[in-house]
Amino acid sequence: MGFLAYLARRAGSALLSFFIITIIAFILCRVVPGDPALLMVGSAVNPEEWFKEYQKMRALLGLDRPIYEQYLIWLRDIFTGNFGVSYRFNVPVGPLILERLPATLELVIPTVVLALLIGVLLSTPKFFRRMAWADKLASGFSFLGMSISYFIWGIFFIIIFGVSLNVLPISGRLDMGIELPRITGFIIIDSLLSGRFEAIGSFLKHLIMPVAALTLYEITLIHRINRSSMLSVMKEDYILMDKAKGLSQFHIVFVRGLRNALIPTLTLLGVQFTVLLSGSVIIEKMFAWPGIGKLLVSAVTYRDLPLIQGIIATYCIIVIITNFIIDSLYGKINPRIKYV
Amino acid sequence: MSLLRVENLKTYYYTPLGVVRAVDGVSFEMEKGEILGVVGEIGAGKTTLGRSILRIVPEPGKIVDGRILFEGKDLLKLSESEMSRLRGRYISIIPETPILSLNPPFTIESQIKEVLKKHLGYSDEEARRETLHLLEQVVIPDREAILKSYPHELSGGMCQRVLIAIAFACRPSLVIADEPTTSVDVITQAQIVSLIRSMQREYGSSLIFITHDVGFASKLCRRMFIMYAGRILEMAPVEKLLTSPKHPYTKALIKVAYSMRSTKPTKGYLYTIKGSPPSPTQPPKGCIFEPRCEEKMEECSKIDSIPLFEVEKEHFVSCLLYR
Ligand SMILES: Nc1ncnc2c1ncn2[C@@H]1O[C@H](COP(=O)(O)OP(=O)(O)OP(=O)(O)O)[C@@H](O)[C@H]1O
Ligand SMILES: [Mg+2]
Repeated sequence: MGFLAYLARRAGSALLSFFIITIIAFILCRVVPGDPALLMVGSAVNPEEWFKEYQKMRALLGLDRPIYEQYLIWLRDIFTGNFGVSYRFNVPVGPLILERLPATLELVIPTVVLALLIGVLLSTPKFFRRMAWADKLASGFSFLGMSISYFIWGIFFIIIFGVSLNVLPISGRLDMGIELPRITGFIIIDSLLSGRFEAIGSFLKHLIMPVAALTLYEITLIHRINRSSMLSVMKEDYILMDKAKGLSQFHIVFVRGLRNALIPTLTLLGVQFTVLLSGSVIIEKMFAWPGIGKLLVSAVTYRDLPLIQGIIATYCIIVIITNFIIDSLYGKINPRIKYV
Repeated sequence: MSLLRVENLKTYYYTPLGVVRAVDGVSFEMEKGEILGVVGEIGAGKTTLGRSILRIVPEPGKIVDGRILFEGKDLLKLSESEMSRLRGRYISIIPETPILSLNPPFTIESQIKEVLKKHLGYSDEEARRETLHLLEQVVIPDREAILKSYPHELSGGMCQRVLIAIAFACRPSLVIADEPTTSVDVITQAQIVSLIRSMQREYGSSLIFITHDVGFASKLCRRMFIMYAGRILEMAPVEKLLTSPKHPYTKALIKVAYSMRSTKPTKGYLYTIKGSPPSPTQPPKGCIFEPRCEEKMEECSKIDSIPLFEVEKEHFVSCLLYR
């Protein structure tokens, strides 16, 4: 029926974008300067011997084959689930990424949720007569925040709260000495499962600064887009009619208006989720957060092609899933939007 | 005591291009159960007048002066929360843009039920029963299906009927119908008008019937007034207005209406009023109709704010000819 056909079409286009993106990434990895084999062969006294070593290394890594063959091999590796073997760590890439992914999601998900809640909330005072001051304040903050990026906030927080006041930890996810068995990789879930509740408090303390650094900028984005879409929605005839029916301004703004205004905001949120996924690299580095970001930096430094390729494929899958969720939300929020 | 008494009401829009005096010193009165017609061209200020009574004039509009006495209370003195208890309960509106006036992501059912729940304290079950009853009243077929549907799935005529149901749901004392016939076809127009008429009788509400069509107004109302550029030019019982109009504008308006409706071939002749309505931000000095008037005198452009003169019982004209 309609929904199944829709799902099939979505899956088809998702697969297509997956191939396109990974092929582009594949080619890019191989044309940028920096030969991984070169980095991996040590220096030898004899140039001839060195060159033999080098050739052997290329053959070992499969780099001597034509590029399409390399891609096909990579595809085969995907279906075995290991995404190839990392040059540097010499272990399958799949498990390596899965080990780091939870930590990154632990940063990105709270950021997106908080930014949505706070950003949307800040966009509403405009529509209450006695809250004009709050709207001015929010808009001022938004204007300021727009020009300050994640890592400036990060540095600022580290200096103030981490160093000067010394009230918040500046690195890692847990205090030293807290041991937590790894079950899912998500600290909150693992500590609930293993009954080690003291880990949650320690984790939240570590989470505050990196999440705050990521969130502040996102709030200003959400605030601005939601405020402007609310401005146009609140001028609609149906809002006037809601008022004529005697609904309270609170109800009109938070239910009647917001539900209509949320579509562009959600679109932005979806985009920002994926931007944050890679954008958190800097923050992860800054706070020594054991997420994918750190992995990606080292992969690029060592020209660890399977690892780079694997991380890109992971991002790609997450983007596809996010878009699917956001698109289904559209239909829930606004029945005029049909599956197409 | 009259149900509604509007005194010297002024509602202005403060636009970047200047102040639009959409309603500029309107006064009238209406009795309980009465149907009052408000007739005027595009931009005469009819919608603004209706919205002013409910105090829902959108930005950058503002009610700057006057009194609106509803059952003796001045609505302009009520707090916002007192006012919202009144809206939809005692005074309601049938908007001029039916397809744009239902909130898109909410079902028809919830948009009717909420007024019953909010104003009459109905339980969900009671509200649902009453909603079905209302839909029957406004002659909607396939009611269960309509309840579940969303506004975009309904035709303009259906939206109009739903909005009529909402307007009458709480048996209000006053319903303001803002050009309910403008956005539907001719056959539906007649149905909508007779529907509003029968709802008004059934629910015992008074009705302000806003229209640009003298014909429709004369079929429905006992009295009506003619609005032009934010002011009332003439107010009279319908027969008097049609048979012996006094104001030059009314005379012209009725001539136009007759020449449009006449079934006799007119050899391509249609009567028109020369000129166009005054610029909303820069109205002429003196009588507002003076630039287009065929009977103008010298003083007409000099005397500001011409009052309504009573030429006969219940017949008022704002024109120096009848001083
Ligand atoms: N939101 C607004 N902002 C600025 N000016 C407005 C606004 N709404 C109405 N006006 C102006 O006020 C005047 C009266 O408008 P109004 O809509 O009340 O007239 P109307 O008689 O209902 O006309 P119509 O036949 O088009 O419904 C017009 O000149 C219009 O341009
Ligand atoms: Mg109007």
